[in-house]
Amino acid sequence: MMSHELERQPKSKFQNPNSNKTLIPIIFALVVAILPHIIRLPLWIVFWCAGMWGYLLLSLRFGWPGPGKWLRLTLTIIGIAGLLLNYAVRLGPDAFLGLLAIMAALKPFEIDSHRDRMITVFVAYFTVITSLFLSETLAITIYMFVSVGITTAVLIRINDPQGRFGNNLKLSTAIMAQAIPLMIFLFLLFPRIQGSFFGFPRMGGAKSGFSDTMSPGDVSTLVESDAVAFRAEFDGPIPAPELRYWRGIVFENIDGRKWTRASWTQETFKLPPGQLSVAYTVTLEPHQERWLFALEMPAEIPRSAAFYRDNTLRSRRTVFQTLRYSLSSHTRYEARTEDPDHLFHLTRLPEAVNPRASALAREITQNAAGVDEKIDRILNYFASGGFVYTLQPPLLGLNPVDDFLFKSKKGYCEHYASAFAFMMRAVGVPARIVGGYQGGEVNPFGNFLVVRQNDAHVWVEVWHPDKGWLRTDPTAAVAPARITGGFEGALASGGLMRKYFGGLSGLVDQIRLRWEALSAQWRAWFEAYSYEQQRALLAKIGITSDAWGASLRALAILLLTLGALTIGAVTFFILKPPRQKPDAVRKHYTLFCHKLDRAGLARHPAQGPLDYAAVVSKNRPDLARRIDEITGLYVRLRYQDRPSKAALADFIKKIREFQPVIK
Amino acid sequence: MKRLFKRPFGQILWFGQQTDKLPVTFHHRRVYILPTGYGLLFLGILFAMLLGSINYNNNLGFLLVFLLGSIAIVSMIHTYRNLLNLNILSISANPVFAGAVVRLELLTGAGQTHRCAIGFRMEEDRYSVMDIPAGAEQRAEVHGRAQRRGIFRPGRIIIWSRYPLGMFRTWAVLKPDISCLVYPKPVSGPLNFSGARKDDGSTDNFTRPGVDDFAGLKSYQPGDAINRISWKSFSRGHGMFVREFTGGSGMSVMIDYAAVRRLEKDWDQAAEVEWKLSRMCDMVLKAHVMNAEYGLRLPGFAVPPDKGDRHKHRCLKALALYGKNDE
Repeated sequence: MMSHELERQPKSKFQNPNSNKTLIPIIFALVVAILPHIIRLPLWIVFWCAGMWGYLLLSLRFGWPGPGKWLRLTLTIIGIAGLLLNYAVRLGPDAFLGLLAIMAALKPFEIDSHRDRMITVFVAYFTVITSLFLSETLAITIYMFVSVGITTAVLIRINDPQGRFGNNLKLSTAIMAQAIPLMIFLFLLFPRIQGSFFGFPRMGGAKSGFSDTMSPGDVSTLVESDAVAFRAEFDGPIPAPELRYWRGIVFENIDGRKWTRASWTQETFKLPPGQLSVAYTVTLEPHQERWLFALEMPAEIPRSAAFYRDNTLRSRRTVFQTLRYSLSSHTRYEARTEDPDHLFHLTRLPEAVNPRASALAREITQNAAGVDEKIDRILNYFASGGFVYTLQPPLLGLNPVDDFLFKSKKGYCEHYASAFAFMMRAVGVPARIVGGYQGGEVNPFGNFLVVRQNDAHVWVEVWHPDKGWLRTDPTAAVAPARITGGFEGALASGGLMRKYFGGLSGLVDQIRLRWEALSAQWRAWFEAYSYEQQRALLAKIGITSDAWGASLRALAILLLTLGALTIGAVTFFILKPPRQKPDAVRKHYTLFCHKLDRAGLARHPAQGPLDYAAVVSKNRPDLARRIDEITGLYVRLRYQDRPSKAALADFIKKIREFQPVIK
Repeated sequence: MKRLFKRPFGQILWFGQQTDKLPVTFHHRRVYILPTGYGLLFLGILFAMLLGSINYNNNLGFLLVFLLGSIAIVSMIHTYRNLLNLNILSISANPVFAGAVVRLELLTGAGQTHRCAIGFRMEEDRYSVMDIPAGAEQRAEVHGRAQRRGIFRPGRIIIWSRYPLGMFRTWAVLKPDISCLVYPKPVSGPLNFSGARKDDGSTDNFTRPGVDDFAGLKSYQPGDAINRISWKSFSRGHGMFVREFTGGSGMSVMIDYAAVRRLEKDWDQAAEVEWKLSRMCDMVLKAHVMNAEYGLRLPGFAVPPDKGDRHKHRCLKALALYGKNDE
């Protein structure tokens, strides 16, 4: 019952029953918190953590000694040194994470006091939040709730070491359940701002399927990532696969090897007219660029975007956060407005590069009547010329198009598009390459498409004097399945999984699709929730902008001030451990005890001064009188209301003179 | 930090100095709550996380910050309710000798709530922590130290809890209406009963108390001499009894204040008085153990010779209160 009676400081934490009861839960909480980071952490830190925690758990079992203060200090220094070596080049979020992990590994060695245990649990909380900056998926969100639940249960355990851990978990779940309504309220109404305070360092971020330059032949293996690029929910039926061309970027300039994008000249161009309008909403994963993707051709642009003369959309801000925008497109369109000077520019080719390709183009299109026929002939050449669609094409030389057409004949969309555009330009037809995504997987549990990074695609636009820009996809001529069946359909080995695990694979697909449907809904209204959505929500419940905004801003300022004050207080708390400053009386009494200690008469911490004096006098009758005097004075000075200064001086003098002979 | 919250706030908020009549229920006006240092530290961490979330516009970050913040707020209610409506049913304390630990025993009743990790402390470094299951009554002990003889009045007893998360500390202050007698600290020394009187009036040095005739058994009371416990009957399972004797010599002694010689010359008046009382205390205890009939004579006050526990207590009380009537 008296669990906190003053007791002798244990030599090792393993003698302290409270540590035993809290150590395992604390390590458990830390492991749970750090688990999502394992891939990001360098291997040695993972082993470091596993080693430290393993030793602790084993020492609990076998009674091995814990490391002393100096060993702990040495380990800390080694850990930080390793960290500096590891991250010397760039001290970013990863290094911070590493530091957190190293601390989390060492901290459980010193959890003798309540204070240490509390701080260790706070380290676990802090680790949980750092994992959120890696990704915001539904899975991570669920994991976060589990992790917080466990950490809170450990916190309860620390404050009630007598109870059962099962009960701690139950209570922590109850507390969390009670906290959730308030959490939702705060989440929805806490004022959001546009932009950020300190700017964004680049964090996490999936590799994008394409960049703003394109040089086929330089990279022999395409990034095969099935990370989601964006999701599109349709108001009506989803367009057929061959119409799912998501336009993102246009490459207009070529320097022989490399295609680069057109300069961003925003002009008040009219949107191209068309028919068969589809309305949809895109939930775009952050890609740290400003590209926005729209079905060809955009008919109505979202407010957050600008429209450019190459018929592409760009976000007004860099997309650091999941972005949601609604728009509509015409799947049949006529893009017939173009500046003649610009068109001329789009027939230019660098001189003396790919001479054979130019010659071939002229040869194929000889006597062709009009642009349509030129296009058909060249596409035909691709379809019947023995070309192979592969994601692992060989590297190409100084004349990449020549090499591709006459030597390797292997490639993916970039090779075909660049060769086709090159050949069209070689015969005087304006042509440019369009980058974006093609296809997408329909999720039957929600009326939406999931477009992944490996759906990235490039195709060609050719200028027809009467019809305007015509979309031409040379890849479709070589591997039609790529367009209608999606990415996997184009590759011969794609169906391997399906071949061997037919039935099971079907079930897995079902689960996966359901999960994705859920994920998509989550993303759609959780991750994209921001300034705009908050305003819309407030408007819906009848609170209009300005007054609310002002009061929220005031609240935010208040919160920030409060926070700053708290940080001040906390710093004070951390810098100044709760230790009493010894007064003169206590100090000298300690000195007195110390002198007796040297004479072999140590004081037990639980011994009161009078008990101590009695014991010592019994052992050393020769000292009894002086000890009695000093103890009597001490008691008087400590407990009398107003001890005289003379008594204090006497006390100090007596202790200074007190020299017990060591027997 | 802890001290900062405990003392001044407690004093500021504690209206009046009147003591509590037991039983006491800690209703909402008597239960205080403030964040602990850990609570503030946690708030600081949350604030840092909030800044990060705002900067990265990270909705999951917001969600976690608000989840943890809400958990802290909910835990405040849990902490408060852990102490609210706790009953203190009674407090008891036995007399002690000066310098010893005074143990106050509190009988607490949980009421309808299961209470976890409730701490009890008096103004002393020791404290106890315990659970009180719903509907149960539980004994808690708090310790004080009685440095001087006289009447020990326990100061404020603080009943507190940081359960469940340690981020808030709730407490209530109890000022029990109880006093505890503190006898002088016995100082052992020679048994000089100079001035002891026989019934016939002649004085004689005390030699040996009568422990002659066995008079019978009486049931054991705390404080009875151990060497008089009838272990024989105890071993037979009849309970604890003490053998009583009659003083055969019919002699009674007086323990006289005036007869206690002081030991050192340079003592001041007060120290000398205390020392003499301590010596007398020791003599009373010894005389009691010997089952002598003894009396006590203090300047201006005397206890006629008698024997037994009640008498011992009466004598010790007289010594404890000597010169303290004004208190």
